[in-house]
Amino acid sequence: MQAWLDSLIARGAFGPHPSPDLIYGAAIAIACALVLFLVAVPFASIVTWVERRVWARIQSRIGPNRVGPNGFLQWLADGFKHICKEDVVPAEADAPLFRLAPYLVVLAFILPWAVMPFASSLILADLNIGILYITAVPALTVIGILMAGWASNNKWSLIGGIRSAAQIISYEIPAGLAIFPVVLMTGTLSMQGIIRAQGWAPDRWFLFANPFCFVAAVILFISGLAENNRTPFDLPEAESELVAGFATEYSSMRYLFFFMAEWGNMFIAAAIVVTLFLGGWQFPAIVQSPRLMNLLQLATFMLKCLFLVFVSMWIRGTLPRVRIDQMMSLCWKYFVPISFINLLGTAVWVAIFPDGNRFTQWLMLSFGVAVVLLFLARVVAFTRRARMELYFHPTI
Amino acid sequence: MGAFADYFRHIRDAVTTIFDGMAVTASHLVRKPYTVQYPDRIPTRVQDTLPFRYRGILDVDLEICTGCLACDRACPINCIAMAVEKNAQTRELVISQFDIDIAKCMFCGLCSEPCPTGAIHHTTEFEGADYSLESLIRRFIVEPVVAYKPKKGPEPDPAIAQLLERGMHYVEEWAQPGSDKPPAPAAAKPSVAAAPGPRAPAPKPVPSAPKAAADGAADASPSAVESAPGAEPAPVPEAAKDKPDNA
Repeated sequence: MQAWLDSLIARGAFGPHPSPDLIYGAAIAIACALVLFLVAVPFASIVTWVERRVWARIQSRIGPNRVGPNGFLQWLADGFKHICKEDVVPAEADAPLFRLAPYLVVLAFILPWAVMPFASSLILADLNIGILYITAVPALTVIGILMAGWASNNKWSLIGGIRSAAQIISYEIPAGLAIFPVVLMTGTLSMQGIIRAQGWAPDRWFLFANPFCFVAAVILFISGLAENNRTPFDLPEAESELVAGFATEYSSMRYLFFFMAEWGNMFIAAAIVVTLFLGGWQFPAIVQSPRLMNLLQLATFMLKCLFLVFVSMWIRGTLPRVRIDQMMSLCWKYFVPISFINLLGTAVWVAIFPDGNRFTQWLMLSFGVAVVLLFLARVVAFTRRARMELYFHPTI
Repeated sequence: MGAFADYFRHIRDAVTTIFDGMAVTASHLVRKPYTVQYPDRIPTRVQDTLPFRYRGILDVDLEICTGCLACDRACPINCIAMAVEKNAQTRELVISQFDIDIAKCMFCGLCSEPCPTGAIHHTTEFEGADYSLESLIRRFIVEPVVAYKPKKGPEPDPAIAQLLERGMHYVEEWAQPGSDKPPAPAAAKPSVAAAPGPRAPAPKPVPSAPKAAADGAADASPSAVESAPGAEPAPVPEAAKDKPDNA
């Protein structure tokens, strides 16, 4: 690529006195942006298919299974369908704002991918304020959604947009406070720095570092659900009351953008939790080749993220929607005070055990294992109660 | 203190109920889906799994139609159009028109109830979608046919006897409410040649199985009881046995 750029410079494609460094930098930036875009957009689309299959199985249905093997190409068919539809702008809408809003939402979904720590050397920009950036940038979504709700000139859209704004801004606070315990322990805001402070084994994850961190991880995950308008916090697009909320008047590609951003943001929220609490890409150093090592780390990171994405689908298949007052009281009466207690508790903990406490880590890990085992026992009990055989078959 | 205890009780309730709720949905996640992938990805056609008394699209066995017009008169919405004439020379009834408008039909079954031979009956077919209303009118007569005349004694033509047997089974079923199983093939075969006509006296009037007689044969028409010996008692106890499950 450098040779190709050199030949372009020699032919004077960039003016008489080009600066090679600037051109290389721009070319790399464009290439990386393209790669990320080409990863992020299909990912967000394929997740729609996975989600529909998971819900279907939770409801004892099969889900989309006609387009391609097991319906895998459903996302492609849906995408084409949306692109082929007419892009309607209502006559009374504020047309420029109406057209602009979906792009802001997608921008807020694409930007965090820049600091996603996929592997030890696979990160577009390891900002030293990475975690701050990743909490700040998705807040652009508020502007996009509020703009969409306002510009639609429709009461449902407006209520949806305002609910969304209230929700995202409220839950930013517990989410931010849930991040600080980790920052307190590591003393860095860089995504890679936080991951490097953890180990590959679960007892070295910050999830199990101390009880406060465990609670913080739960709060961060639930706040992530709320910020992405996921069930049980999908009030902004509550079908039964608001039609489709802020997306009511949208059609065609612009409608698709909103939902692509929503599903993509699931991954972002999961990646934040994985980075902060679940050890990120940490993988035991079993191979020498750095290239292979990076691949293994990438797989680890993606698997952890996909598991959390799966959990959020699972929650969507389980919990009903909360009321707006319940949502607000959950945030302000429960999450915010508990987050502050967590922050204080972690500060005291770090003062007492600056390098962590092995005994607590093991205790927390065994507590986590016990919870998982108890959960599995409950699952088996419920399956037995229905007198159904276990049927582990993900593709049917 | 109460508010303080409530606060922690809320947290505990939220955690435990979500924990159990997630376990419930996870137990569904590992079960086999219930979906029947109608119409293509199913082991047997849906039509073949429906009960014998399923009220699908009407069909007429013209070979055993007596031309009595009972169905025409019984139809509450006049979707059956029949024309029957008497041939002056041969003194035979000739059916020249037998149309059923499936678009109008409401599948009430009142036409098959009075049919003496069971010629008009519901099938298990239900996929009747079409592009024009006209094509939904089923015309059973291409050229006028002579109406069936019940014989004294067994029916000589085996093909007609088979139709008659099936038809009489259909008629007979009205007398036994609750039995919705098709007759066992083994039981149906030996009676093909000996199937009695509607007005023909049965060779050996043996009462049907006691359970069925107690259930529904009290108000059974004579023809139904008479034709019972044709079918061996095997299917009846089976139907009676199924009853507690259905109830």
